[in-house]
Amino acid sequence: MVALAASSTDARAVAAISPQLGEFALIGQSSGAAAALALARATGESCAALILIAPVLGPLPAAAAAPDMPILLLLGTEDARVPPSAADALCAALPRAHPILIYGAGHALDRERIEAVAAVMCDFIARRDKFIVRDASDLLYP
Amino acid sequence: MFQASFTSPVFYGGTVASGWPTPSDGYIAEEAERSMSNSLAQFKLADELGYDWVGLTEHHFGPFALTPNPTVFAGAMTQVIKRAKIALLGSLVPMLNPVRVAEEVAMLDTMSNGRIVAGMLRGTPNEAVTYNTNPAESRARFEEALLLIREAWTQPRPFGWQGRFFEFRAISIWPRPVQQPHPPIFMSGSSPESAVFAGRNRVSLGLAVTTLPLATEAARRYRAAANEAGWTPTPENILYRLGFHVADSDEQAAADFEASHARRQRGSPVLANQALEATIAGTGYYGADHERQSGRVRGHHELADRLELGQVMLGSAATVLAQAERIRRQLGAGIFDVIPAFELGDRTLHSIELFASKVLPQLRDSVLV
Repeated sequence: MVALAASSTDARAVAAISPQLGEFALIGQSSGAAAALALARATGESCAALILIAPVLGPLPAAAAAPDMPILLLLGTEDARVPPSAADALCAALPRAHPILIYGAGHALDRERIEAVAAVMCDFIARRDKFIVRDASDLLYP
Repeated sequence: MFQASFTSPVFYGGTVASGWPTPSDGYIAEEAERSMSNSLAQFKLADELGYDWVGLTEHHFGPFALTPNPTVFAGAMTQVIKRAKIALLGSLVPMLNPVRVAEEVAMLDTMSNGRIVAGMLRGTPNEAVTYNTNPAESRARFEEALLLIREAWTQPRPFGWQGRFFEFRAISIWPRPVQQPHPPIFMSGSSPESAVFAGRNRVSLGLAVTTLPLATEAARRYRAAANEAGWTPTPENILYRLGFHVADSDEQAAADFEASHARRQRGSPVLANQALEATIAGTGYYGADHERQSGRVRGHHELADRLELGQVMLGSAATVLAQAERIRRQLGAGIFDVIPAFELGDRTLHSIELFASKVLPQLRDSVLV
């Protein structure tokens, strides 16, 4: 699956090419989250998963208008702009969102904890809702 | 001003093997049962006498405290301690599953109708061996576990945690804590790193196995870090743990105390295996202030030194009150976590009674300045 990062400037370009992509995942970070949300709604089923990283959204959309797809919400525990306490309202507005707190990271959480963020995003893109079930082995000695 | 009574089911029976981990040579099941019953009786007495807290500890693999899981013992206490708060001092969170700790404490808070104090500790250095965790990572694991537990208590919806040491995809604990937003959290803050972490994160501070001068310095660091983070700790945010024994006269108290030490064969869990302690100290376990923190747990042995350093209060009620007032003035601690000399049977109970009737009321009435 292709993952696309959305921002307000490239949303139209993404919308234009999305029919050729088949199934894709959208990623919106900080102030780019609003564009990713709008695009996810506009592209419908071909957007298979949405990832919102420390989303800065103006007024939160009504839950009825939320895109109907698995949504991963990543919040840094040290983020003063979108703190972990924002998870409740964000999840109320986006009923299919699942928050994951990125420990020790501020607003730029993808840069501050790149391995942790990459790992959870890759897992979510690959398995979507099923990503809450552990599939890595814990066997110590085969 | 609060007062806490701390006790612990120490294994009293016979001569046991030394060292740590301690082999079970000399272990007698009936003695262990008696030790736990004694502890429970001391807790009940403290509750009836008006102590504000009763507190218990977590230790592993030895006779020092028969509570490797204090939440199990606390579960029994919720059914017999009717009034006092029950303080876990504390759960060794770096080596436990933090989600499980959050669940257990929330259960206890529900069973006690909101009377749990959640202490969180790293354990004595040797205890890193218990569940095979790396002592060099103990502090980082501790900090992450504490913040994860607080999040588990307060996040109203299922959430995941992508930590450095802990990874969970969905957490949503039931039952929820009765105390809102969560039970009070205390952590040990003797080292500079711990005091600063506690201050920054609005966690209350416990100072134990230390001296009054070191504790005073730690409390100063804590208040400075808290002020930088935009809040001001009150005396109720600072707990100081020390031993005590009150008798009808100073002479009787001294004689009792000597007898108590003669019966105490165990020493401390830290010193039971000094080679292991040295190995773990070498991993950086104690942090930047290594020399002093390592020395702190080794302790002082002369009674006169221990009195001067505020490690113990001993004497008649009037003498102990004066000792308590000195410590409180200097440290600004609002909570005394007082450990009775456990081993003296009726004299231990008498000491707990005298402290409650002749020391606590005066301490409560006096204003901390």
